Amino acid sequence: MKIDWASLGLVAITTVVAAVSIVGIFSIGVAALTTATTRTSAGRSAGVSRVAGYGCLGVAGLIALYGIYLIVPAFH
Amino acid sequence: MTTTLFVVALVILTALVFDFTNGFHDSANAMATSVATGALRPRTAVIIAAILNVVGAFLSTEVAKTISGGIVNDVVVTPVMIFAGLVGAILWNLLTWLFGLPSSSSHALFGGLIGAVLVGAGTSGVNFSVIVSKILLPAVVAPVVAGLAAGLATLMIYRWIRRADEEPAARWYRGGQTISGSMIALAHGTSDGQKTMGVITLVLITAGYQDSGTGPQFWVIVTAGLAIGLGTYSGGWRIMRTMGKGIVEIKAAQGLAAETTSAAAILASSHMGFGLSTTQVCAGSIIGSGVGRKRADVRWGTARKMAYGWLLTLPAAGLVGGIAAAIALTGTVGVVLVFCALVAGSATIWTISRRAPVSSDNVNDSPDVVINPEKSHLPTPPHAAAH
Repeated sequence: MKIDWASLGLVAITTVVAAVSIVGIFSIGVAALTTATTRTSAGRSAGVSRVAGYGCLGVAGLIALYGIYLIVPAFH
Repeated sequence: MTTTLFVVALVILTALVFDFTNGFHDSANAMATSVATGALRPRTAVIIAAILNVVGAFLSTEVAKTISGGIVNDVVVTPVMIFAGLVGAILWNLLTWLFGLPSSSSHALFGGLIGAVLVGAGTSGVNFSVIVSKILLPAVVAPVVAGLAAGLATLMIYRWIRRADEEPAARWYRGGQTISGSMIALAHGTSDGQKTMGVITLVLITAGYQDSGTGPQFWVIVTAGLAIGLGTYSGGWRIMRTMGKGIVEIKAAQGLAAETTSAAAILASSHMGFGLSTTQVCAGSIIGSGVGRKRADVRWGTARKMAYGWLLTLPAAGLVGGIAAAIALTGTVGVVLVFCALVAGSATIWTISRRAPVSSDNVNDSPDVVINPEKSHLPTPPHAAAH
C-alpha cells in the first residue's frame, strides 16, 4: 500500500497556514475598520485606521482572486 | 443495437439523477454557514451556489481520466455495472438526505461502483489498498485538518476582536462570507460537475458511440452542468439545517473562519495530490470553528451521527450497488427492474421526508431534522431506516 505522507503533510500545513493567515489579515482589516467607525462616531478623525482596514480587506480579496486562478484550469 | 441504445440512455439518465442528488447534497457545503449567519438569504444562497456550480462545470475542460481514481479497475467496468453503482449511490444520497446527514457523494459513488464491480467482476476488479489510501485515510484526515485550521482561525479572531459578533464587525464578516462561500461553490462545480461528465463519456465510449480518448461531447457538458446546478438550487435543506444549525450555533466571524478554511483545504488538496472530500472538510471546519469560539456549544451527538454516516457510506452504497448489479447483469429486463426499484425507492424516501419537510422557509428554525414528527424526542439512528 502506498500512502503519500508527504502530500498529506503538505496539504495539512498549507490548509492551516492559509486559513489562519487569510482570516488573520481579514480580521486585522475588520478591527481597523471597527476602530475607524468608533472614532468617527465619537466625532474624531478616523486617521489611518480606515485606510489600513481597507488595505487589509484588499489583500484578502487578492488572495481570493488567487484562489479563483487556482480553480480555473484555463488560467494555468 | 436498439437494446444497447436503450440501456445506454437509461445509464445516462441515472447518471444525471445522481448528479442532481450530488448537487443538493453538497449545496450545504458551500452555503450552510452563510445561510445560518444570515449573510445570505436561503434562496439567494442556493441561486449563487447553483450558478457557480454550472459555471464551474463549464470552466473545467480536462476530463477525469478514470471515473474512480483507480479504486476499481476501469477496464473491467461495463455500463451496466456503472448503472448499478449509480443506483447504490443515489439511494444512499437520498437516505442520508432524509436524515439530514452530510455525507460524501464521491464516496457514495465509489461505494456503489465497488459493490457493483465485486458482483460483476470479482475481487480482482477492486483495488483494496487504494480504498484505504484514497478513501479511509482522507476521511480521517479531512475533518481533523479542517477542524484544527478552523479552530485556530476562530480562536484568533475572538482573541483579537472582543466584539467580533457585534456591529459593525459582524457586518464585515458576513460580507466576507459571501466571497468564501462562493469560492467553495465554484471549486465544487469544477470537480463534481466533471465527475458525471466522466461517467457519461465512459459509458458512451464503452458502448461504442464515441471514440476512445475523446473528451465529453457538448450536450454532455450542458446536461451534467445543468443537473448539478438544478440539484444545488433545490437546496437539500435538510442537510443545510444540520450543517448550519445542527452542529453548533454559528456567528458571522466563525462562519468566515470555517468557510475560508474549507476553501483553502479544498484548493490545497486538489492541487497537491491528496484528495479530500468536500463534505468532510466543510463539516470538520464547522466543528472546529465551534470549538474555537469559547461560548459555542458543539453538539457532539450530531457530529457522532455524521461520523457513523461516513463509516456506513461505503458499505451501504456498496451493498445496494452489489444487489443492483446482481439483478441488472441478468439482462435488459433486470436493468429495467433495477430502474423501477430506484424510482420506487426514491419516491418512498421523498414521501417519508414530507412528514416533516424542511424548506428555505424553515431551514433556520430548528437544529434538528426529524423523520417522524410524533416521536421527535427520540433521535433516530441512521441505520434504522436501512431495513
